[in-house]
Amino acid sequence: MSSFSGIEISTRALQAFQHQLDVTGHNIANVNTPGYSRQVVDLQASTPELRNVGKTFAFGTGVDVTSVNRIRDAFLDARRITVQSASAKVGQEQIGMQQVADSLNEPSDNGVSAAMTKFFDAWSGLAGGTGTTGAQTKVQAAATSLTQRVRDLYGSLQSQQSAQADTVTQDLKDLQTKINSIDNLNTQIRDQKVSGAEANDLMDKRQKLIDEVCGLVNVSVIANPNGTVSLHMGQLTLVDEAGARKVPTTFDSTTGAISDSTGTYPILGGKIAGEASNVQRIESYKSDLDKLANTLKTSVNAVYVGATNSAGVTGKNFFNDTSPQTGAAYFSMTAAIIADPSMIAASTTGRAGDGDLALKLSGLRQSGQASLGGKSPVSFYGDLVNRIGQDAAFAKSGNDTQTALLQQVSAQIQSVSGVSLDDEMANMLRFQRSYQAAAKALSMFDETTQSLLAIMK
Amino acid sequence: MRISTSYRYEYFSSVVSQTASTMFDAQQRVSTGKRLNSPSDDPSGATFSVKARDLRASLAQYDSNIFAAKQVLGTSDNALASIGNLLNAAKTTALKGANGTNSAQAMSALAVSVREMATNLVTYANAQAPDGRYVFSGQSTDKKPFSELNGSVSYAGDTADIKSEVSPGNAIVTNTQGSPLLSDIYNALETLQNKLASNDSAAVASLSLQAIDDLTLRVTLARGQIGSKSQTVTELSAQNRRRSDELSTAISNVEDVDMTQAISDYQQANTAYQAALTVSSQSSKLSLMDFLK
Repeated sequence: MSSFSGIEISTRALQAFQHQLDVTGHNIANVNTPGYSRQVVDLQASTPELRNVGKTFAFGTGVDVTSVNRIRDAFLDARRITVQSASAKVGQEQIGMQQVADSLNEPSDNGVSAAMTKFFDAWSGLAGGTGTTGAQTKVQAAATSLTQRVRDLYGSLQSQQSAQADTVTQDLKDLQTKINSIDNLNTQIRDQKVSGAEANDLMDKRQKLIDEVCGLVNVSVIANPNGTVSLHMGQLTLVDEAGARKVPTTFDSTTGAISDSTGTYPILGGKIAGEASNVQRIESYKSDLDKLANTLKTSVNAVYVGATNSAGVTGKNFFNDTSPQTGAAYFSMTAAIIADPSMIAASTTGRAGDGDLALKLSGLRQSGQASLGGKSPVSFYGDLVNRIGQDAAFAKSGNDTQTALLQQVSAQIQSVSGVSLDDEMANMLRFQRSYQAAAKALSMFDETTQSLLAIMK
Repeated sequence: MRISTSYRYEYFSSVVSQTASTMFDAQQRVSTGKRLNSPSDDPSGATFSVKARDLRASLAQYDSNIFAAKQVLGTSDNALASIGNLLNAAKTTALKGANGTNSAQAMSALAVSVREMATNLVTYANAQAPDGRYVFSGQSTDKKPFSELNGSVSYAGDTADIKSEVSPGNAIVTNTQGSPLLSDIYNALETLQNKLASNDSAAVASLSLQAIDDLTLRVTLARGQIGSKSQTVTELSAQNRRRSDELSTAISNVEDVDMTQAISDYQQANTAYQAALTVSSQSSKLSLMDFLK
């Protein structure tokens, strides 16, 4: 037994409380750091010393710092990974689909449907008011606005689609950067673990990156015994103990998969999956719009080709049908009609008052077309509007659900790992008081030792 | 549950922004009066609205077709009414001529007045609708149908019908065939004039009186047809308007907000927003630090 053991106990206690105060300061300093997990100093009573005072007793020797730990719940981390991917996917879908729905401009007088109505109305008006140039000009104006709006809507869909596809390319680059950083952190964490210490702050940093990767693609995470993590997207290894892999950059928008020489890997979750699904959906809207434009062109031309205009010209098309320019993107009138509305014919006879063909063309409004699945053009377009609206509404409700789930999990994680200033204040008070007490004990031991030394003088 | 500091602020800010966004939506509905700003707001409602708007617009077009049809029907009716009057006058003249007591001079004076009638008839038969279209020339509305040369009339039009769409899937014939009716009247007047000029009162009595009566009947029948068509289109127009009003109500039900509901929603959202702000600002003032001196 040493006469100074009391001083030693107090010194170690002072050191331990100092560590606790330091960690509290670190926690407070990081109260606003995203992804930070609060840390605690783990203490335990140090190995007792056996003293023989007549009998043998075990006397305590003070406190030891065993480790500095971050408070984290592995179950919640795993749960968040799944929710994060799903949430990012529907979030992206919601943004994309809402944009498409808004760009339709329906229901209003400025959309394709109103233009289509005016187009058929104009033919009906031409039949009722044949021989007046006003009625012909009306047909020309209505057809101009119909073709213009169909082309504009198609162009808008096209640009939204390519914007989504371009973002995929960016996001794949982003994914590569994040994987490289995770690999980097893996190495540092493994090295630090070898030296015996937990790399708390590095692990927080890595966790945040993992969350971000989950926001991009679907990922499964495996924690390895040496402190590193492995990330896999289905069959594709993104990063493991051997290092970061090169992410395939060839993206197929029709299947939503990326591929390289080693294989094809479907992306099922995360923002990129949402982008892929947007690209595919917009593709199907575009194809419906193509169908509509082609059907209008073919059915109107099939009737109109029998028409004779006031100049006696017959056998002409109304809508431009120069192959291979088909589809909504090239929907337009023939040059002759664009140039001169009086070229527009209303009948087979060419008589000024004959409107039989105009009447037939107006009747196309109600007639079901085989190429539109038996629906009339207006009804077909109405159903397309419905489909886009449903897709957007569905994405929105999916997004609301997933956002709520993600918030729940985040709240739980925050509840476990987040820094609470109230907690830290209370702790600080506790550690400060403990420190003061230990200092008092030290001074007491010092005085005791002093009196002993005084005797020896 | 343990509440971490950053979560508390995150929560406050998410609650405040959520209530603010709800309030903004409510505000937007009140200020625009629309509940359907994008198809995603109500997909089936949007589809209904697209189809109902199509139908409503086509009804407006039918109405304007009916307006044009009415002008043609009105012009035709007016012309035929004048022609009917002209036939009455011709009959009075024929009765005078059939009497047999007239001097040759008086008979030729009657013949001159009938000649005048024939000229007027041609004018009436070339009646034009307000937009300049000839109403009695079949589909050849741009051609002057009747022209007179040396006591005979020639017809330049055709005998085809003009159809106009007046209600969904329903087209009616708007024109009245000028030929052969009007040519027949002209020829009858021409014959009457010839008989009067040749002082042949017996022929006037035996031929022309009956012929004029037959023609008057044909004119009356034609006017009757026009009258019933006018009535039909007037009814259809009222019907289309009624249907259009119904559609407007239905469209408004789908697209427009119920103002009372919208304003009360807005007030509710406003209260929620204020509450969120108040609670956030009050409770973020609370901290253990204030109690530790």
